[in-house]
Amino acid sequence: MVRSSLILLFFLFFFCYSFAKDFYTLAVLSSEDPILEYKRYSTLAKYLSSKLTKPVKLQIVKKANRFLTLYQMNKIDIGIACPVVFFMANEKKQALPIAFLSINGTIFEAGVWAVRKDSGINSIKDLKGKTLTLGSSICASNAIMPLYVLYRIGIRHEDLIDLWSSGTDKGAILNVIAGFADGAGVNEESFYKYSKGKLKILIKTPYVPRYILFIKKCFPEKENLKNALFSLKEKKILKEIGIDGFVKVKEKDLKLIKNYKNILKLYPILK
Amino acid sequence: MKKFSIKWKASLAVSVYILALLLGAIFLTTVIFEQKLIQEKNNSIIDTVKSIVESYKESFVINRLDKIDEMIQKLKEIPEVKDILVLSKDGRVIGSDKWDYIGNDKKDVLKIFSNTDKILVINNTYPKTKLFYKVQINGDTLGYVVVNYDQSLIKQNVDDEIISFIIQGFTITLFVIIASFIGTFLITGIIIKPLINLKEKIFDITTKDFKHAKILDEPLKKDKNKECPKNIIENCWIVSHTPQEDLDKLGETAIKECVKCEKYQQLAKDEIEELYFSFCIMIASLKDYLNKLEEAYKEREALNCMATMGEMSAKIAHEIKNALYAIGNAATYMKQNINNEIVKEFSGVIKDEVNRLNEMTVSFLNFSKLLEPKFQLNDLNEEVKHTVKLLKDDFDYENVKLIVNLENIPKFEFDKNMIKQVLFNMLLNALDAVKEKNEKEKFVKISTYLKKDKNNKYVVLEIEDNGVGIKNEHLDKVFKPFFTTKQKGTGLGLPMVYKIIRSHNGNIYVESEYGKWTKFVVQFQV
Repeated sequence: MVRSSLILLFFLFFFCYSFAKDFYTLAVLSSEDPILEYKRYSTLAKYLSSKLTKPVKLQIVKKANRFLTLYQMNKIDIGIACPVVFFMANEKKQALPIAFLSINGTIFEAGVWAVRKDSGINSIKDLKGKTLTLGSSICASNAIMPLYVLYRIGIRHEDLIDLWSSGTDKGAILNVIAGFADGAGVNEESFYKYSKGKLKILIKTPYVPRYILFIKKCFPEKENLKNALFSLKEKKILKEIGIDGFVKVKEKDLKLIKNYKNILKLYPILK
Repeated sequence: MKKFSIKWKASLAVSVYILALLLGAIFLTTVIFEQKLIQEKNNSIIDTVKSIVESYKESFVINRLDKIDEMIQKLKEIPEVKDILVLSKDGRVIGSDKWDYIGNDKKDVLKIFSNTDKILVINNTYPKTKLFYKVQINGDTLGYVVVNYDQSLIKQNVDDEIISFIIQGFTITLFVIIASFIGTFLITGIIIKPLINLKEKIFDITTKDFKHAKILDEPLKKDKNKECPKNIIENCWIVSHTPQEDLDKLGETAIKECVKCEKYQQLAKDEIEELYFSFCIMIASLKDYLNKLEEAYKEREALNCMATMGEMSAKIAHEIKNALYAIGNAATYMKQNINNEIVKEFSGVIKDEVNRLNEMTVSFLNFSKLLEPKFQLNDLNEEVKHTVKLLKDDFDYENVKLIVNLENIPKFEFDKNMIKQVLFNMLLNALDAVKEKNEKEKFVKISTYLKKDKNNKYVVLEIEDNGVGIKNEHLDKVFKPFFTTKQKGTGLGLPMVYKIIRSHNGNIYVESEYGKWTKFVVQFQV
């Protein structure tokens, strides 16, 4: 038994290193302007290159599906994405969460359900029998958590006329303003950015981590990477990356998101 | 008004001309292109709107309002665009630069498409222009885009562009004017340099002794071939090392010959140089004329003096003639009535000398008289033949060969007696000249012929002998009264000849080599 385990471990080790490259790939799932994100995270890639034994190359990925495909094909060594995508990646190939990204003093974000001020909808329960749209079909703050809220108050998919993803929070908000939807499940920050006083918040969702940095399980420089991330205090670099720093991952912070599949099963979203 | 030099005048004139030209061009360009630019700007806005909307067509299909908003932001980047409305196919506002409109019903806007199949309708109510654009796929309408833009802004932008163009134009104009001013100033300076030289020479001449003024110190032009193409002088004065001397030698001939000379035309680069050469020639000719005038003046003075003397001589001669008449009669009486050999002999001597003095007195009187020729159409050859016939014995006696060579000449008007006197005088002078010389073959040759030049015909009479000749220093005196080399001569023969020839508007000159030959040439214009 021990012998066969050793052989298996040897093959596993050999397998990991047979695909070894001369560099590491840091992939970021884009949620904003890709050019701005490239500028920000290229600073992080340079920083990590100086700390790890191999250079780190940056790749910005626009679509979650593509991100997951690349991860499955071992084309991503270090990933930064929302927690839902992290869990999806983990399902495809085992991933280790390393750190949360702290922005504006917090690692968390929340979603909201927003409606037109003149819609006559005053309570979350009033969303029953309405047309709803979401900022995305996958992310925590503008999809999973708003749906989680609906679930908690007992509004099911069949209680809604329609539910679809507008692709972006801005699109979802505009759909509500234009009257195509009665309510929009969007990120709290997006609400304040785009609603321009025309919408109101019905309810705010529980807080969930915003971004998580993870690695594939066979990443050889896990400790080096942790040391590099948690020792990064240089303000200039942090400012360029657009974060306050990296925070160690606690399991309890991911507890709500962990069950994302159950939520999505209940609410099949039209993309 | 301030006096400007040619350089300044030319430079200013060119600058003003270019300024007017460029300002005119700028003005015309501005006027012509303003409307064209406005039209092009309008077209450009329409094309840009269409292009942006078409690139976001997909957003209408999938109802991506965030993308439609992105499209609106791009449309707003067109500076002239004021308002944008995006309508769903049922007329609901699904996008606008002003979010207040989103969700509103604007079906009335779509009425503009009710009577047309066009996908683009332009509604112009200056200064506002509205573009109504129908977003379609395969003829199915997906939505509408209404863009409202400001014509006055377009005009303002075009005007700004034109002002910028004018400023650039003015800068270029300024540069061109400065460059042309400097260029013209320098070029004119080079062109008028010969004129300035000419002016200085004129100033020099007017302030110095004109006759001895030297305006040419060095060759005007460099040329290896220094020969005069017309062979009227050894070296062409333009390229000669001694231009002043050579030009002075030419005198008035220069004005007749040099101006027509091919070399002169070749050497003068331009009109100004030609002017400069002409000036030099003119000065040389003027000097020549002045010299001749001075000579003529001296001659006139001499003639005046002579005339006075002649008048006095005539009076004296008349008195002497009276006295001689009395003396002659007295001597004749004494010879006839006193029977004494000595008295008779001396009375004869007195009578001879009285006769000689009488002849001389008559000559004086004739010379001093005013000649009034009686012109009649005569044949000079006939007069020559007649005179030769009369003198033939004298020539034969002295063993002198008289050669007569008469060509066909036209008849012309002259005083027969006076010309005969000329012929007698000159032939006898020639006979005297050959008599004095011990030559074996003595001859006197008389010839007549017709000479022509461009404008005139002349009858020429030549009397040539191989006698003693005339000394060089006597050549210019032979026609002056009372000059004689003969012991018994009066010195009035050749002056009388000269006087008669001049009274016929003729010309006479003499050529001679002392000890060898003499030739008198008489020319009558016919």
